[in-house]
Amino acid sequence: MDAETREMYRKTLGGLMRRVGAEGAGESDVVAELRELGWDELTVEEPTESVALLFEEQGAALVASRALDMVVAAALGLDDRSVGIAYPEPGPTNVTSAINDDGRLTIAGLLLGASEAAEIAVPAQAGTGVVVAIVSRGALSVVEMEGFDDAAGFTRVTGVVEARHYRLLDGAAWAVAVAAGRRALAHELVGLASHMIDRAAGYVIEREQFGRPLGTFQAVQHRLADAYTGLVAARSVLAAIEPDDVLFGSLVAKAVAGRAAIRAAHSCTQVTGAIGCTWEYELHRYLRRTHALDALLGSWRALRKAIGQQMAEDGHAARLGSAPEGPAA
Amino acid sequence: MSTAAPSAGRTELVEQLDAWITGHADLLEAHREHDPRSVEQTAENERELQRLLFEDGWTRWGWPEDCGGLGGDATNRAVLYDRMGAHGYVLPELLGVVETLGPMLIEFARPIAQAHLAALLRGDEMWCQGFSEPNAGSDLASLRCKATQDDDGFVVNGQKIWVSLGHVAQWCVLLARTGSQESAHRGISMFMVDMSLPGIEVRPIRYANGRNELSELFFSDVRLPPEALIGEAGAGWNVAMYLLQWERGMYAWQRQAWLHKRLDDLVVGLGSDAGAQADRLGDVYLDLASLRATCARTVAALARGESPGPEISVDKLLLGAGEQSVIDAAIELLDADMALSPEAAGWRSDYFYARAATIYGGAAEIQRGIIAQRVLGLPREVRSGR
Amino acid sequence: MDFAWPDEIEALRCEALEVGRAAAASLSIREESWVRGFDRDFSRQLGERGWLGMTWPREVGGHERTALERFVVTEALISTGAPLAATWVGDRQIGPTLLANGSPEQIARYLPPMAAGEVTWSLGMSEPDAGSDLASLRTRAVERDGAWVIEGQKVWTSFAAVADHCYLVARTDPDAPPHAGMSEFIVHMDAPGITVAPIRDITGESHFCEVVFDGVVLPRDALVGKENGSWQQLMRQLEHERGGIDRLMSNRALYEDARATADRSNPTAAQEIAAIETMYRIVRLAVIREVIGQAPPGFSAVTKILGTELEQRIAQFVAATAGPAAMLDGRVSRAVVYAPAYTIQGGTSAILRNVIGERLLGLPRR
Repeated sequence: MDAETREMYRKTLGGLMRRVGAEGAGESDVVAELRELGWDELTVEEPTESVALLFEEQGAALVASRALDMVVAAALGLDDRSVGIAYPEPGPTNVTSAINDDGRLTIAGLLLGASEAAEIAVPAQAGTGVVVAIVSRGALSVVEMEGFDDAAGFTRVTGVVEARHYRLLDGAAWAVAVAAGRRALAHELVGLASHMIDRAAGYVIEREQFGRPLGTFQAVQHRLADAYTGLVAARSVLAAIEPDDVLFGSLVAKAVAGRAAIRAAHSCTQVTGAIGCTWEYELHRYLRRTHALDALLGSWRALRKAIGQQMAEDGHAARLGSAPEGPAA
Repeated sequence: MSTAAPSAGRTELVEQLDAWITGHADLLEAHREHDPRSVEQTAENERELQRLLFEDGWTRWGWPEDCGGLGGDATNRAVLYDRMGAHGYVLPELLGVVETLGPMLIEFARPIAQAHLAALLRGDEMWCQGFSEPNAGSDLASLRCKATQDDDGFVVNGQKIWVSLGHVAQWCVLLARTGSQESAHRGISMFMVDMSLPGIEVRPIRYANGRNELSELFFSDVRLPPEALIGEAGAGWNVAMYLLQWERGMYAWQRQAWLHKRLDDLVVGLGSDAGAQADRLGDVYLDLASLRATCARTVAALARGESPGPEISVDKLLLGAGEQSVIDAAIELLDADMALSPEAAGWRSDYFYARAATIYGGAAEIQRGIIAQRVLGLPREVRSGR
Repeated sequence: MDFAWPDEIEALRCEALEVGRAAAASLSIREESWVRGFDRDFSRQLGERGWLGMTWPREVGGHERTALERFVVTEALISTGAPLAATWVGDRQIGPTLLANGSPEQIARYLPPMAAGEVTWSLGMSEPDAGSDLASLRTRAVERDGAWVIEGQKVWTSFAAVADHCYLVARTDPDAPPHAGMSEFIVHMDAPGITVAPIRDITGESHFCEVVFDGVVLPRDALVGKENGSWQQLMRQLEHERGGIDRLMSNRALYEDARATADRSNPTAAQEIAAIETMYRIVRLAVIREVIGQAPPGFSAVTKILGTELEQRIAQFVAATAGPAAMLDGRVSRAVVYAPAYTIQGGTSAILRNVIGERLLGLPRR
């Protein structure tokens, strides 16, 4: 994608997200509008860039949508992209949302929104492997969740489903789907961090104390510079993911992005001072969303541990991506 | 062995290089760490390796053919640096200087590059850079070392400090003031100085790790020929900024290869305890992956001929963070061996170097200021309150 | 040196722990109890026990006990999450500042009810454009017909909506240099012309308020201490505000719960617990040094930075211990969201580092 096309898409997607954010529209509206814009074709032509653009803009505008479901469904190879996804409940070792006990599924997971989807894809532990079950939404019970970020619209889904009420997909695709989800979330975290840094920078340029803008103080400058450095690193790691190392690369990218976004949220809150600690100011909503998205599909702390364990097992550290390549001859 | 021929493509280059490294395992075994005792000893030990890498073509790829190279863009060099680390070997220490000074000479003083680059790559020559002064460290633009132009060239008077390899180098790339003191960064020029010229006095500085890493240079009426000038007179600041990009980008890439190798060493050193330190190892990995991915993007941009601008300060901050992350973790996690054992001398040397990583080449505080002011648009600091 | 408490102090500490636990038993959130735990009944109970104004003279309702005795009681109460907010500002800093600067009449009038736990004081210091830079405050106090007339706006005034009094800092000489033109006043919150609007904070709670003073008339004797002499008085008052045990203990109860469930076979968790416990003991000694009057002027900046940054570290530890599931837990998520405020309220860490650089290390002023 050339720079001009990218900018065009960024503007279109950014406009859509800001409008949805301002109107507080339902989570399904974003997906419907994306479809109208030709999203499905774009993801075929530009699978990486389209996700990067969409999720960065979604993060920056603090929109909660079911776009992540769409990405995961596509990675699962589902033709029906409107299927809901039951994400594993946050926890260091949770990689599935159900236990498959002799055909009977005991399900406990998270949905994006109350999910008006007719069908839900549920990754389930089956022995040492994973299967993905497509379950009718009606067979499950969905309750609202309280916690960090009510506006993220997560709900908790539970149920016990007998074998005759679901069909199975190849479970091998789940790892690929998780990787796709992690990349999308990493981009959204980058979008959140980017917006927070921009807003905090704007604030310290305007706000005066001691007869000069807060932004002239080194203590303030350095915190924001560190936050920005983390943001650039997260973007670089996302760009370094190579097709033949996509599972590990996506895992590292989400860890780096989660860590950077949480650190950025803390720095931005500090330099914004008391106003940033009020309900009225938007910063806390970004801080909450940052934690909420970090928790999905593996928090940065859980992923960091997984990386360390892998290293201990291998006896060495994997190199992320290969050496840079020059301009095509 | 004959010269490698990576022109077929990147995959082939990596394959051939890996095969070469594996095939030279016997010889390379002596190069798993830099000699922690002295700079001189390191250079001596690594000269053979440097010569071999040159003769077999590996350090010549990515440099122009008229300057002793074998052609191809700069990313070819990045492959060598990365693979040496991946196989657990050092990169000859002197190649760090090549990456800071080489691209600048090619851009601004091609004849000098044509005459010297091969000798430097081969290890026949050592170079140093004379930039900092006792009263011009972070604030480089206030430097006072003077180069006065006359009919025969330039006459240099002044002092330089914190010069890596200064006491062993044959050549020094020097920043000196050709304009008035008030002209600040607009009155500075870059020179290539023969260190054997009369009037140059060198005093080594023993660094905190015990090695003579640095020197102080004194210039009294040192006469330079006109062709010693690099770039235009008065354009030294731009030359220095160009050079810094490579130091921030490619030198950082060299270091990330070494730091990943150090992380490997740490995992091996922990042995069966490594699993219990998974969180800490993972933390270090995130720092190194951040560094690696970011300087890879910068190196690719430089190879395309782009100038990354002030954002390149990010690379420098990530380098400092990465250096300290892995070495500090090693010092803490391998604590029983670290303080006393003779085998850990290399770690201890790295520990001191890691301290300097947030100081040399522009302190981390300066980089943060650049990012805040020139990337995020924060106002310049004011020097006194109300 | 023996760091163990003498028997009678240890007994007092245990008693306070017991009282605190009973008072906090029904509370689901026990963090920040000195900021948000508002309970007038418990306040009167504290008064009856003689745990307010503990070190003040008997003739003003105090109990002439030692600073250490007050320390162990307040530490124990905050650690259990007992609701102290209704009396904390008065007991911590307004009482001492009135004792130091107030007239005999002011002391006789305002301290006894404070020590009895019958009144709530709020702090009228910060303004929308005077946060870290307190000396730039603009609320005016003008002398007119033998009275003071107040015009202006204060913000982050805790419990202003329910407080009986406000300790107000206002500008009395607009022509003097900023530090030299401020004075302090006692305001009765039922005075005509005061409007209070609550501010919802980052957790969704609203004990902070905005207070507008529109031609509020104060009697001549509302002035505390010297006219235009507030800055020196304030510096001392801020030492009480910054150097106390409250800046270390805000989320201690939550920490203790998390520590009990942490996986200690994980070296990261074990080392973090060791680091937190070590820092806790160090900061506690720094607070004791403040309490017994052995800290040099300005040292409270060090104490507050250490204490509040440890509180933030604890929030991180609690989040890590609870794991990402913390997202689903109201108490943990509240603690994580609130944590950024520790290093902002009562003087930001950046400002306090300047104080350390300039006042303790002698670095040049910027």
